[in-house]
Amino acid sequence: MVLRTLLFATAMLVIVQSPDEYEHIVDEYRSGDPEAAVRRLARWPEPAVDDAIRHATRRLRTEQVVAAAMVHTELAAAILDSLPSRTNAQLHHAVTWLDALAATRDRREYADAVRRHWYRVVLSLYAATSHLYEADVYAREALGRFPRDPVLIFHKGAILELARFNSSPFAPVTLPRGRAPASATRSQQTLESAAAEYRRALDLDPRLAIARLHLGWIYAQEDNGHAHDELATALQEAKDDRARYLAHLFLGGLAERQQRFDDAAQEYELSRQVGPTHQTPYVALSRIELVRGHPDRARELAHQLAALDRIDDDPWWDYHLGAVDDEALAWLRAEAHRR
Amino acid sequence: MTPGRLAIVAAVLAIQPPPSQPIFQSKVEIVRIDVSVMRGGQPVQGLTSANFTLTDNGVPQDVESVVVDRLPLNVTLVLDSSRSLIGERLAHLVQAGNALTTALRPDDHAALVTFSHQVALTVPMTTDRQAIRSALAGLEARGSTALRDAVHLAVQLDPRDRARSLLLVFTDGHDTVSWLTEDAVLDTVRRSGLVIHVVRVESDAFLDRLTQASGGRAWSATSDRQLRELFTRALDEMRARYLLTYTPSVDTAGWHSVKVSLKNVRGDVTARPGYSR
Repeated sequence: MVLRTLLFATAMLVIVQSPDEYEHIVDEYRSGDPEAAVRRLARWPEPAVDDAIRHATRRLRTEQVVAAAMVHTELAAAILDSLPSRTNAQLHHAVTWLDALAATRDRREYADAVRRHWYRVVLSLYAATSHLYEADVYAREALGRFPRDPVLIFHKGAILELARFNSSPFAPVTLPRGRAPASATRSQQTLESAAAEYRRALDLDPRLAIARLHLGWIYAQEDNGHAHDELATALQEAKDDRARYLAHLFLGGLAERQQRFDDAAQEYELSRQVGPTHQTPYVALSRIELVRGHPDRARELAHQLAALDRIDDDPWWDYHLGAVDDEALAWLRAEAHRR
Repeated sequence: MTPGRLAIVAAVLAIQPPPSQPIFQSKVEIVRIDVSVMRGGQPVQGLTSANFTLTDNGVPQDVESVVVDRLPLNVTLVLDSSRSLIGERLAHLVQAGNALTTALRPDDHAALVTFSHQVALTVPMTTDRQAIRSALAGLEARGSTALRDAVHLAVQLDPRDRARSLLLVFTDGHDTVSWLTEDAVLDTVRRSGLVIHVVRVESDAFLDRLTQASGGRAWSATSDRQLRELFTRALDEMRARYLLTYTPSVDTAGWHSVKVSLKNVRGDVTARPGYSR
């Protein structure tokens, strides 16, 4: 009985992890249940994946290739916390498919577009999960291929900006030999490196509002005189409420640093109007009312926040901690599901 | 005194008369300072106003009253519920919270503020112990750490009534995502007059500054099992404090530096370093 069960299980393993089944997973990701496809792929041992990909590269149609890259990318994202060592293997599988797409005749431009979006997702994924060394490795690779892509340059800046809080071996700033600077100096240098990347991105695309927002906020923290202009322009060019919310918040933060407390309160209030269920404007306003000599109003705002039916989506948290590039991810998913 | 209301200036908590008594209006601002006196790790008991010397901006003041362990407490538990607490640490934190709740007296109030990146008034100030226990049982560990924002909000949510207020802050890490700066939150604390005790797992310079600014104390847990003992020790320490009141003879706006020392008795004094008006 035990032997029969073992034989059956072995047979199932062979069936489940065949190249045919791999293609079925890709198709399930394309047009069925993407999450189920990712879960099924997660059960495959690495040698079986390698074998299936070797066979499938000759079999998959062009329209299936993006889905194949994405199912591995989504699996990498899903296991990043629990199995970080296997994440890179999954991303390598995705790269195999990106290379296969690039090798397709007459699809070079499309393959480049897919790869650019894929890099955006991978860089932001690693950065948002504090894997800054890996993020930096992929950023160098991405910019080696696409040195004048403003969004990829922006992501490189965002990685540097996050790195200033990090004490990991990741050291993006080249230091003079034999001198270990104080952490504050190192943090400042990292921030300046980030600002340089944002400026480079804006030189290539002056309307990249997200880069301007980051640059303006760095300037605000450095007491740079250009901070207000950058943030005001970012506000003008903001394409969505998220950017508008952050621009008002940062203009408030800048005014507060400059002890223009009435202006700060006004900007924080505007930020609250754009994001009435977000936590940060209430915290900022409560604090500024205290400074303005309105302790009752400060307390009232704290109570208003406590009573608020909130959604866990304050853009400040994503801004400060990093977040996956939703726009690139949505684009890739749409391409993977395209018929 | 002329009839009316007793004025309360920011950060100077006036002792309000019970509602049944006449209410008076005055420009007099009574300052309350919670003082801890310890010797050999134990509270020094039995002190009177004759044992204290107090200066306000360097000017000696008459300590009008010294009260110990008579006023009820308003205890706000400000608990880290970020992702790093997943597992046994969260279980020990819940036990510690329950132990503190049990140690409260019938006229004490308690509130529960929890924070990850999101700060929540999970249970408003209440005498309902079961509400606190139920909320603790439902705690989930997730997200990042907005410690500074949580402290500012918890200070603002304190009811500022006749009771003595204690914020008991627990965190196992460092702030990762607050909007407010350290200096901003320390200023909030200095204006409040609240005592803040901290139980922590890792050393953190901000937490040291926080307790210093509020005249509170910090305890470092060497293991998760110790949380329960430290929570109740923090409560006991608050109860053993002396509440000194005085009417400042120096009537200037701004920061008032307060120094408290002992006369004819040995001990280590911990009190907030001053107040703003």
